[in-house]
Amino acid sequence: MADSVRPSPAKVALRTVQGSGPGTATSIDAPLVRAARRGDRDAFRRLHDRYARMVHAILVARVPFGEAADLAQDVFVLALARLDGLREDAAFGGWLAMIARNRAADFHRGKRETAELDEEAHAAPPRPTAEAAEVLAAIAALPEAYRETLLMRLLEGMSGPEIAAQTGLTPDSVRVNLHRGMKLLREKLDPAGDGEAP
Amino acid sequence: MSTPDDRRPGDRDDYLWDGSGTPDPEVQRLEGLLRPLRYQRAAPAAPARRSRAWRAPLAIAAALLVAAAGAFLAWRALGGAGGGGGGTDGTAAPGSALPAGLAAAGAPRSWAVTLLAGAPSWSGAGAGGARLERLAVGAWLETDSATRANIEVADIGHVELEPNTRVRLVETRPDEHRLALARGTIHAAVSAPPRLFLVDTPSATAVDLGCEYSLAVDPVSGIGRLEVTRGQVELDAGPGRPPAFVPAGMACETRPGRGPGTPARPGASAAFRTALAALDFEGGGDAELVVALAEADSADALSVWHLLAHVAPAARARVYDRLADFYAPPAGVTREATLALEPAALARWRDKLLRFLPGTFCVPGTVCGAPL
Repeated sequence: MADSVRPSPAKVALRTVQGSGPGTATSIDAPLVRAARRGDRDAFRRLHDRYARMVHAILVARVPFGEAADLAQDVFVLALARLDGLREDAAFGGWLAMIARNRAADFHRGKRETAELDEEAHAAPPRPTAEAAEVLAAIAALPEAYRETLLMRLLEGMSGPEIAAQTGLTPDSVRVNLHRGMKLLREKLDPAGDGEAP
Repeated sequence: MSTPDDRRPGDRDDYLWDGSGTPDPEVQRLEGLLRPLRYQRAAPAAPARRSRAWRAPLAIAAALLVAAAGAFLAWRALGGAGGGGGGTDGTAAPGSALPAGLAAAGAPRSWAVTLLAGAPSWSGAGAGGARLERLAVGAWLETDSATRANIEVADIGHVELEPNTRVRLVETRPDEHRLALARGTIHAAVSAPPRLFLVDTPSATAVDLGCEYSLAVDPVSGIGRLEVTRGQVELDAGPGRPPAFVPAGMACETRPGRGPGTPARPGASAAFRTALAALDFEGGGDAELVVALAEADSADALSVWHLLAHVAPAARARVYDRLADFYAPPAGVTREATLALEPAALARWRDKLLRFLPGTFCVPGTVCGAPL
């Protein structure tokens, strides 16, 4: 095993749990997916808690903010119903992301089928402030790959390694998306470039 | 005045990448604007799954459960539990997974081990011979610089071992599964009731409260570092020392002779984290407390809560006032009770603060309701 640059134990901890390499976050999913497939509600809840931010960010990147939370709930109900069709349990994150993107596309096509949700699930999402709405609009105008990644980072508070682990993108790709996306976002928010990026 | 672009690009990218490095003011501003809009909902109450493919395994599982229970009772009747403990190998129904020879002899309680890379070394009783695939109670498992391994923690989760890691299976029984981490790094993912899975380190015990986390122990200093990615972990250094509650998104250091310090967000300001380290481990005093309280923001409220029990009584009121800047006291909790460190008052505060943190969850009557 290449061992030329070994990070400190703390760094290792971050990289491994949140990384996308073999036997890491994705393999942690597999037992949860199997359990959820057997009807284990707690496992389903844990998968939801793990991936909800990613799903929400993907949806916010594609639909009006006020619709995204409801659609995110739909995505998880759909995912549970289709879990038997997932061939590779460890690929759950990428598979779920695809369902989220398809759900957003369905939304725009007018297919608004929703699952029955409980009272809490129907709670209205928070309303963005004018300034936050401006930022969301600026992000919405970015290329798709940057939109999703930036929303996961800035809106949902996910770290780069976490985004890579959940989406299946390579850490390098995520890093590039973040860097370029943030550069474009700075330019959109401050076109005059006052004190901002070159 | 320094602007974000005065710094080297890598520094700014580090903050954008994982919250480390010098904070980028613009990124921080955007985080602050968007944070209130984060997804906060609980998992939907999903309808029952209709898949036939789901029903068949359930029926099979039920049948196997009945059969396993029968086998277990028969095994117990024959005195198969061996010495101590609860009489299960903690991984599967007795006899279902152990090598035949070990099972026939009354197998020691053990966990399954899968190699992810390389080949680990073993020691102690019940390691399983040349083709080592189970870790028995009392046995050590050590990975070298090229080895990674996965241990199934009974039927409640698993632990991955990084290279250069040494662990011992201390105990496995229905009410306790305990590992000792002497050095190196592990990553644990456990789905079980709180306080069932524990990891001893040289300076504290990590008590699982339903979570995923990484735990590293420096081979020289014995200093431990816990980083929680899901749920919560308690770091407990024994009587007389306040435990640390570390929820998802926070990290905590623990040192031999001192126990756990104050958990903090990796994304908290560097000045804040430096001040906490000084207060926890380096004899820091009033100057460091002033910095810590000034640098804290509402996302650091749980760190501030920990300081209540860490600082001298004379300084406690200032910590309380800062905490109250962020959140109103829980209903029925007084300033006096909090300053007196009454366990019920502190627990109510902690539960309230945890509810504002993403990625954590409370199990009524267990995690959040647990007394200090």
